[in-house]
Amino acid sequence: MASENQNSSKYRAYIFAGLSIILLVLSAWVIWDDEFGLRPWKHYQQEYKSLKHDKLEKDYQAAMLEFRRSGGARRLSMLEAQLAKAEEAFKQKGVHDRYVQLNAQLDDLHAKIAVNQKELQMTRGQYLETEYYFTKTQKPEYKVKMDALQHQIDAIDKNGKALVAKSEPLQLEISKLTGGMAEVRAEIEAIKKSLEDKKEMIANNDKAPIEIKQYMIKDTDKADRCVSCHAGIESKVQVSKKEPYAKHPLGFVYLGNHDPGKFGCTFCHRGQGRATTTIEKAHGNVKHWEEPMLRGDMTQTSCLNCHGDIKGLRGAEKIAGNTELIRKYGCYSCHKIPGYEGMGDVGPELTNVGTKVNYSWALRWLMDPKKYFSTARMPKFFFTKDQAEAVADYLFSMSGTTRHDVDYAASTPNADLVEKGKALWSQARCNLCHMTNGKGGNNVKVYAPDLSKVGSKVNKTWMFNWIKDPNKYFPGTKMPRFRFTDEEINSLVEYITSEYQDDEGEMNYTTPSEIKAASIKKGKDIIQQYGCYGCHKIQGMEMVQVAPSLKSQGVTFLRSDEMREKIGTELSSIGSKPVDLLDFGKLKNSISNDRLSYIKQKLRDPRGFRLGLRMPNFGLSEKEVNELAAVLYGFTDSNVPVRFMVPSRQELDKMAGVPSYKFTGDFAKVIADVKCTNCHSIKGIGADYAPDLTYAGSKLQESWIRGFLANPDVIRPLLQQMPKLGLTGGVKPAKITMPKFNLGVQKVEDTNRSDVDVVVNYLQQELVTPDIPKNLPVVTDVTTPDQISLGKKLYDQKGCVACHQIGSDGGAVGPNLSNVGNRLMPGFIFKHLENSRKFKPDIVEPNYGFTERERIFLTNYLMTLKLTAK
Amino acid sequence: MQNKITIRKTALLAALSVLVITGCGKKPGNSSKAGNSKATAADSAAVAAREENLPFDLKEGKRLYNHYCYECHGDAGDGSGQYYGFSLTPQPANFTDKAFMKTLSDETIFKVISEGSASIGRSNMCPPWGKSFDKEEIDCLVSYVKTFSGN
Repeated sequence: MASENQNSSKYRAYIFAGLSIILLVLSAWVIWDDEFGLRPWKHYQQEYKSLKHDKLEKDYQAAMLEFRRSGGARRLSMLEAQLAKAEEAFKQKGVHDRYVQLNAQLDDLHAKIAVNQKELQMTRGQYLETEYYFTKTQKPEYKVKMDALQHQIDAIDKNGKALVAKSEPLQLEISKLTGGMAEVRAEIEAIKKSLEDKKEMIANNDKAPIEIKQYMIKDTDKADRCVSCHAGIESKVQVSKKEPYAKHPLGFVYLGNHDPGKFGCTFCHRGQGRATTTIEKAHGNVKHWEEPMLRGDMTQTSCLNCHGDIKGLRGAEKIAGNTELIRKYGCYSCHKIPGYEGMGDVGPELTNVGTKVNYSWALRWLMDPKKYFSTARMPKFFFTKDQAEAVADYLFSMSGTTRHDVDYAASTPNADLVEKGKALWSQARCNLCHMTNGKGGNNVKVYAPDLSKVGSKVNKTWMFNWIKDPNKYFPGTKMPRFRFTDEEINSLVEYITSEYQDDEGEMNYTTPSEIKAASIKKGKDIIQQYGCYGCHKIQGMEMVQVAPSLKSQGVTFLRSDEMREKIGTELSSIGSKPVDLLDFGKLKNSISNDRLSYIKQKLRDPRGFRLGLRMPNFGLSEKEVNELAAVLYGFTDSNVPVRFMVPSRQELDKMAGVPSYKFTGDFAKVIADVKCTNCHSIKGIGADYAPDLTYAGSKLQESWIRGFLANPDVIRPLLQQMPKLGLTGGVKPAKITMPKFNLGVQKVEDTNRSDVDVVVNYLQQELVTPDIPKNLPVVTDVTTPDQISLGKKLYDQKGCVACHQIGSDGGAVGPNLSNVGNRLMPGFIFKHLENSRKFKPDIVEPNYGFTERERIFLTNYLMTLKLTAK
Repeated sequence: MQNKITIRKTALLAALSVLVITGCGKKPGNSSKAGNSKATAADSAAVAAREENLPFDLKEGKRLYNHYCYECHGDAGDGSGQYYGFSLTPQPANFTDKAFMKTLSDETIFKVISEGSASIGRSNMCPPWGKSFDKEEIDCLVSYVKTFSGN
């Protein structure tokens, strides 16, 4: 029994021992995990501290080395000896006594000055009080008192000034006695300080506590603890390139403009700001956290949260470029997107398309636009031939035409006309906007159609009318009206239709046939279903005359109420839409179930999720998918505090009740006709393809503008050139100014002004700025010829020739300056040299930091550069 | 479920490490190859992906270079820019010249960019950019310019 007892207690002891060891180990692990495992930031902070210590130590050593190498040590000991000597001299009885005496006198004076000041203040106070009563009551006794007080103030002030004057010679003598000493002391201090500061920085770094660090943004209940690991993020010097120790890239832009203390991290980078236990959690790459951290270029998507105007925003270059895709493909046509309201139709007007294009072309285009042109912007709707026919039948019947095609056999081009047309084609620089056979189309943002096969697409009559007056067929088109004569247009049409033919066109030739009412109805249904009216103007079709034969068959066209406002989902907050609300359909298991993957997949293959989806396929490249997804990801309804918001110029105008800038008078008509803003930007309206004309009136000389408009010359030899738009000069006044569709509004006297006059007048009246002076400041102590030669010397000295050409010598980066004296206003050159970026932020010309005199000399030199008229 | 997450984590890790490796490993070779510009369509997609993964300073440096510097120094950094650079005397610096680039310290390149070529006793053709750029932007340019020689 006893042995049994013994055995069992021994047995229990083993269990107990085992359990205690487990408990011990567990406790140790718990303590360790709590201290280190769940606090990885401790390690990172420690590591950062030691890295920073090393860097500071290195800096300190380098400074010490430099200090010794440059004789700093010798200089220091010399200074110290000098100081000791001076101090010795100062201690001599006579000198020191005099110093004490002087100081006593000075102290006395200072005390007196202080009393005086106090008295002055008090009297002034009394004066103000009296003045207040006087303005209130207008009683004369106050006026009397005011005069007395003023008298008193003057007296006190005079007294004070006398005291100060008295103290000055004393101060002078004191500084003479100790003069050397103070300066030497200051230098010793400075030398020591530069080294000691470095030492102190090391000490401060070593002393810094290891703790959770965070940015609290109270009003939005955010606590971003990212800095607990990314300890060097705010640092101005790079301690280590390794993460998480690196500093914020381009910190002067991103952190400089967004103080982390006020903005935190996760407003821009998303992620899980409060998480500190693992990297995955903090970066938001865990299940049920829907906002993974944004990094690299993708972070720029967050700029869209607050900034209204993204164009030209430093640090947002990538996303600003990407937003152009929204404009290119016209996403806003079918989807509601904030900031893209009222953008105009992305596709051409189709009201009269039947009078424009061939039926066989329309079919091919409708079925697969990208197959016809790889650069096509129109998406593929996956129409069958029947469906395409129905849509085309609807559109053609709407224009009052039947199925028809060009008769290929009948056309033999007139060689003479073709030759003339070719010359006109290059003179009008059609290739600037239109691409043909892979060439041209440099002004990409106007999205002019590719004309490589246009001869097989449109008929000659339509093309003639189109070139003659584009606004007539398509109000709001970007195509300018060139002032060609009818013969000129004829030859141009002959050239274009014969030169740009589609080899496959004839193969697809269809014999003209009647359109059936059933087909029209089917087409109407399809158009309604897919919302073609989002991009193309088909609206208000109830006004169109239905042919009698069709009317009897019950054909009607789309009415406004049959067209839904926006056919697609609203995209205002797609970038913050809960993942649960995204329909992954049959791809649920094959793609990653997060928001970004969904957006990208939707862009790649819009109808791939399930049957019955309507969004067409845009055939985007993977690059475009990524770029567009980045923009869409930025459309959020996140609760960004109002204080972060930077409204766009338009919004600001709206808030201030100021109407947005609009061109006025005859100039507006010229713009609507010639479309200057296709290339030029004026007061924020237009494109950045050609120089900004906002201050053109202050910049350019009138005679030059006139000459240039009449005969555009090359200013930048290797860059783009302005097309000759055939604007009339002063000689042919009757021909100008009006878009034909606006005839009734035109006043008689306006027809007497040439459009060049209108342009010049507007430039000089409206497009000027007080920032640019009319004339140069005058320098009197140097003669004008000397100024000019000094200017030339500067021009040679600074190497301007590398970029600018004068005569036959020089580079082609900047404009040719051979005739700059006839082109630019001196005030503009003067201001431009002061800060080249003032008028064009991304200008290539660097800022040289010229003095005012240098700028005057250079301007005077440049103004002498003139070409005499031929 | 747990299993799936782990797989995803591993996949993510692998993807990230591939990104990092490609990002770091191909950085020097990248730009010198770009000069030959005989990229086919497939290559261009790969180039785009590679560029996407460039370190920030190189990306920013490249953006700045291709706006302000390529005019004279050329896309490939060989000093034969299309805007007259090819016929300047002296010719713009050739950043693809390994021996030449080895003689330049980061500080020298920084100085030339910010104070102009005349500041180190060369011609006055390369203007001073110090008043137009931030220091950090010049740092980015220095990093990018050095990639041409593959150093």
